[in-house]
Amino acid sequence: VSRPRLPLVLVPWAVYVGVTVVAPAVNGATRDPAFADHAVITLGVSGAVLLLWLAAMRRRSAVPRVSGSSARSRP
Amino acid sequence: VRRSFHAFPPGDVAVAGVALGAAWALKAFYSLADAGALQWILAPTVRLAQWASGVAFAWEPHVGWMSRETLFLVAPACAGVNFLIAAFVSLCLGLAPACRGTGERAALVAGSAVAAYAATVLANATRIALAVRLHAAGAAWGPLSPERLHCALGVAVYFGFLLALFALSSRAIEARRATA
Repeated sequence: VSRPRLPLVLVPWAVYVGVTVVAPAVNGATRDPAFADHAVITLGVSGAVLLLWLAAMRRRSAVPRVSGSSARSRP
Repeated sequence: VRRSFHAFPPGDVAVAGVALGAAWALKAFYSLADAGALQWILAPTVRLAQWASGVAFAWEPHVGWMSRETLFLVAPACAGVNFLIAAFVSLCLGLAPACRGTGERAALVAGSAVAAYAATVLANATRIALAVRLHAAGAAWGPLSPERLHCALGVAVYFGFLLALFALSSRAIEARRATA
């Protein structure tokens, strides 16, 4: 039984959030009042861009592709 | 735990180790670097942003690149080093499982470094060119103050470029595999 595979595109998202939010938070940036704004905007905007990307990829893979050679070979 | 650890080939673990070690070293350097020490990434970025936006920037020693016309400063915090780290680590961690052999893995690490640097200069120049316009217009939108809008624009541009870089690199590896 194979486990469901996560989209590979989650790797850059996880790394981006790790570098821009998690690492500064671990280093004490949470003491800065502006950090909450930065974290909310980073998670919100990157999450929205990721969802749009995943939706576009899903839509693209749902559209049946017709290659040039197979299209020409059809009657 | 042992079984899941063995699910990762030693070559992939080595690539992850090199990527994370380089990221840690770059982050440590960046935390202490002034504008002069970051010229290797600031100068090409500002030149490209200058060309794209038409706004002139002048070098201010120890401070960064300043546009006197719009009072916009490209400081060390705007160098894009966090994006450079994210791009390099993403490519190494995400694409290592597609590599076979030490040679391919070494090429992945070297190629990721070059691609991450080029993508950083391009993404950051785009971000600065747009941010200068936003700054000059004093744009704000509802709860998005000019500072928040600047931050949101930066995340959207950087993360969009990161996804595009990752997708292009994945395709390049797939195409190379298909022709091999």
